Amino acid sequence: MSTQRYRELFNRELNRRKLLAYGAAAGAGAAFGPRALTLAQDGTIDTTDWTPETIVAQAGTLEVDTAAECAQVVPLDYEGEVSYWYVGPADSEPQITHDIDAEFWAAFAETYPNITVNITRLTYNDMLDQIRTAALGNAAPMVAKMPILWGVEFAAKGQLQEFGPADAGYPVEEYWPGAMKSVTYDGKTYGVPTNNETMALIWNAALFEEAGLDPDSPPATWDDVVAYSKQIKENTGKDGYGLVARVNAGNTPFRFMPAMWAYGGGALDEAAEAPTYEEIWINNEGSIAALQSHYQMYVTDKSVPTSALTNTQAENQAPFISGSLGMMIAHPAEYAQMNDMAANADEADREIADQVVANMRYGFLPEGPTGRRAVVFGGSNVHVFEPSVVDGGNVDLDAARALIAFSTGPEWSTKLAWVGSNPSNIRGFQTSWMKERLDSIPFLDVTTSMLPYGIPFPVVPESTEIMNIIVPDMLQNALTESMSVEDAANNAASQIEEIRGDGL
Amino acid sequence: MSAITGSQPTTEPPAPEERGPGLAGRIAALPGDIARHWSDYLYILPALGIMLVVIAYPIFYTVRLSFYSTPANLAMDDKIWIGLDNYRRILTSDSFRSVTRNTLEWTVFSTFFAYVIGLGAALVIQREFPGRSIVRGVLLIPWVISYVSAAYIWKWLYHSDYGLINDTLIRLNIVDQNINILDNIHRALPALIIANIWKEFPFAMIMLLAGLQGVPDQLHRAAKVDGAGTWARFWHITMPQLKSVSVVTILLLMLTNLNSFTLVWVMTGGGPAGSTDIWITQIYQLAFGRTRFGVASAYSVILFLIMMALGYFYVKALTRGDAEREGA
Amino acid sequence: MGRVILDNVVKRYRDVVAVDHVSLTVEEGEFVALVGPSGCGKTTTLNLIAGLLELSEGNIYIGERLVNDLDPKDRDIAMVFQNYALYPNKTVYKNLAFPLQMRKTPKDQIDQRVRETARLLSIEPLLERRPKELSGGQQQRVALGRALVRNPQVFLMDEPLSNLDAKLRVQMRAELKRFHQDINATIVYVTHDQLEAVTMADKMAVMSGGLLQQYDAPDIVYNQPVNTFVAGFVGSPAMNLLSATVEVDGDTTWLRNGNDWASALDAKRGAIAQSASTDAVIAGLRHNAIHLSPTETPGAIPVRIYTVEPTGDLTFVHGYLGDLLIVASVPPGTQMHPDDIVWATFDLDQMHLFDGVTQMALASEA
Repeated sequence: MSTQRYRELFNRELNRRKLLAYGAAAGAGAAFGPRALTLAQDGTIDTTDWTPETIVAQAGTLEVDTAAECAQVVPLDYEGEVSYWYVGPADSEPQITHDIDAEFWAAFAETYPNITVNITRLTYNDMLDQIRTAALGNAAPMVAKMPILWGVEFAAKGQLQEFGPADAGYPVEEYWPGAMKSVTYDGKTYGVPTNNETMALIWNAALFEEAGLDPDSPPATWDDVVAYSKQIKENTGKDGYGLVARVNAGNTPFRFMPAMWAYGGGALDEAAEAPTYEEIWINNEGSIAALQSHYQMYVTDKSVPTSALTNTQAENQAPFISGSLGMMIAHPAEYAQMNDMAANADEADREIADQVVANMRYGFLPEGPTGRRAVVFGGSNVHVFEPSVVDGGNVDLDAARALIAFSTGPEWSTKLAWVGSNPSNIRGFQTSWMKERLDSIPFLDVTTSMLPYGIPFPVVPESTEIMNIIVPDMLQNALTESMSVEDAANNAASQIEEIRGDGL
Repeated sequence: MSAITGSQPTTEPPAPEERGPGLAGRIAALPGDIARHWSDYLYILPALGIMLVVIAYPIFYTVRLSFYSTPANLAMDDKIWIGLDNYRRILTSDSFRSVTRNTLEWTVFSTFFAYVIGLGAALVIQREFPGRSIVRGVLLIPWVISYVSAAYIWKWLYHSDYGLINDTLIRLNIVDQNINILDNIHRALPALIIANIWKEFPFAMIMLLAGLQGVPDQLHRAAKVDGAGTWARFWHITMPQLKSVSVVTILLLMLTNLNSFTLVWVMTGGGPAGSTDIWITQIYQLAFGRTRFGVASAYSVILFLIMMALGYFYVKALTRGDAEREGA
Repeated sequence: MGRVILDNVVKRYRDVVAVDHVSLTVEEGEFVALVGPSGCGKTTTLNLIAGLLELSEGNIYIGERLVNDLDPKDRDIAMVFQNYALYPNKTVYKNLAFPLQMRKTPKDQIDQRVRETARLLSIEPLLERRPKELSGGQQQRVALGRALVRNPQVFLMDEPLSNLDAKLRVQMRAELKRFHQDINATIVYVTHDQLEAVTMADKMAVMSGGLLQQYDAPDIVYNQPVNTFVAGFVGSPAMNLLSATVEVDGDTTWLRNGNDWASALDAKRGAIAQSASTDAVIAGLRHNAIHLSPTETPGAIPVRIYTVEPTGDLTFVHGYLGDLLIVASVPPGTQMHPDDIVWATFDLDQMHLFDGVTQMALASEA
């Protein structure tokens, strides 16, 4: 994807918007092209039929006038000031991310020339602690964009204002149910989703073929994963599924929870239609079945890397690119990473790596035995803080609304999520920018098609502890046979009970 | 044969009355002493002030926090006073027992072997031989590289699927399939200990080398004449002379090992199944993984007390030599 | 006890010869002192006898055995070091017991010998103490005891008294001498203090520059020094060495030093003086061989007094005889002051004559 082409698109859009504005102002209507403008209130997306094909089909079918949409929420000449913290583009991220970030601010300044934004960019590792400290010291920003799980802590402390998509002028229906779950605490909404992503299953088609499996079809169910893994190991000697089971690592729950949910289990009841987070599901039948499947792969069949207990996903990448691993659950951005790895490989390994890249396939995550498919919902949300914890003691709510409306609308939620994520606003999928992305980013159609199946981690303060420590511990206890599968699950359940039951 | 008549010795150790005031006397004199030196205190006030703020206050706050139950969402205003409950919970939990056992294993074995190997290395490079400075430089490398680098190196040496050790063993036909090292609950901790020893022994080597060079040559000659072979000389002469250096070295090693975090965290994260969890990783996990600051504080207070005890012995060992020299 | 024979012993360090063809015999029960200034090779010689250094050339026998290739522990020797080298972390008992322990002597024998030795040296009450709790003299006795306990053929002592203060040194000298007599030990004793050597030894070996200068009983070395080095080294204050030329004037032989002084010699000495290889000779006169008088006498040589040292027994007068600073002794109470001119005469009976070129003593008919 070249930056230049993107710029062409962008400029074209800006010109069109200007012309539209003049046209509207002059009262002259004009139709530019066969598509009609759709305003925010009219959009509805049919999410029950969400497949790679439908995704591709709908892309490029919608034109959006962000300025016009935002003007209906906050007038474009509004004067105000808002402070904003977010994770800025890291040095290691591709240039395009940096470019888009710059263009976003330029566009906002042009749309709302009289709103001053005090921007603070932070690094991913530092932001949580910094914003915690700032809030404690009543020096928080008015608005902050944070990864999906971080917000609940502040909501639980009463540090966030109630604020939802409606406050930014967008109906709730335009956002993923899973994303809305992640901004809901105690029945109230405390934020607006900005972007969402989910993982997918990638596999090495050549290795599948070598093992006697159909190279173009991934395992449909988790039981198939177990069986395929075993077959790959037996017939080729290479490891099948890239199991990750390290403690204190976020990668582990991202890969194991989908199995738990698919089998009908979970940690709490986060997979339910309307979760209460009061029930514990970690030792129910489904969870135990999920645990049993992994036990089967690691202990009985020995078809997964032995080093799974100390591996993070990063340690799976090298084996995969060298053709020693059959399949693994991966983030959409990993394709680009794999490409990089292949490009940097030595002469001797280069050929193998290139072959693997050529044979890489993306597919849906497997279903459970009842046909249920699940994936962890990732992404970011934007929140507004309570005036009492904000630096200066007050929040310019309209300025905040303007910024949020601008950034979570179809246009910018698509653009800002260009490389590694997807627009939170479903209408974003209909825009031409989405089409551009689909044309240039491989497998995007597949990874985005998993979005409806996304389930966020439990929206409770103990979530980190449960996901990063209790769940991996349970997995390790079972896989090292320190406890039986049932005992490991029950042990995890009692731990969760203890920390939830404390009331604090 | 008549006995040689002895003459009276001309120097005697000082009589007890002359050794100075006892402890009670010194405490009573304290206010007067402080008053006399008030201007000295003025000079150290800035540094003392910074230390109070940066060291004393956080310690005080942590100790205070250890008596509270803190909420997972870190709304510190909602913390509840529970007295010694955190401590009771920690001391009676199963995990405390296994974590303590791991920590003891980690500390004792790392310290002991780092000391022994360091001593051997010091003995070797003590004498002149061609290439000595190169060997000395090479032996220092583990100490010089960062803990994170060391952790990654050893992680890939030990890797259960693609590790260098496994690869070498297989090529040499010593084993016919990979040995599960880091992912085996029985082997993980010993493997980490070996990596730790490798990292630390140069420190012991340097300390003991300095000590060795303080052993008077005449003693060795006397022992040689007395018929002591190399081993006997080492045991009767070198080792006793090294006693004070050894005590200091061992105490420092123990303090370092009780505190060491990086190797374990980077290599296994405390797993598999808690088999490499040591106090420090447990505290870190409690504080930043589980956000249970109250319990983590209590845990770190316990660790702090133990470190203080060790530190006391360390200072005592260091200054014992001074007292002896002044009194004799 | 055994005897020690050094046969043409040489020790080389690259291009430096530390011990240069030294041969001597220490008889059984003899106390031999190796004396000389620093760097003369005496300690090196001792270490060679001990086996702590390897011979470059020559042979060493201890008790009739050739010990060149033997380790120190096999040579049946015992050493006492300058700093005693007591094992600081062991009690006196353990220090004494150590050599026996190393020989795997049975425990009860060890106990017996240790106590016996302790009794001998009067250190029994000290057995449970540690070296740092002992005084210098006590430490020395323990060091002696550790040497004695092994019943060696030879005791080798390396300046054991150097670290003591003057008074203690005098005491310990006497004790060492007594020790030697009581046990009839063969002792080789290194010291840079010629007084120690003179008072304690049966024989003195004077060394300089790695060479053995003279090896004889102390009184012979004192009274019949074989060259100017020995003459100047042994005896305190040092012998006055006056350079002069021999002049024969008819029947009388004169010693003349330029315009400073001249002294007539008697017939015997005149003949000796003339036997020198050239006309350059050195006259050696100890302090008691130069008589000073406040009044001038015929043939007396003027001396300007530089300083006067009353010691109680004798008063030493330092003065300039021409350009040379000499020392003469006068009875105590003699009134002499710096810058006085006094008149010196030589006691010819006590004059030594040395060849001005070779430095060797000119033969006398004795």
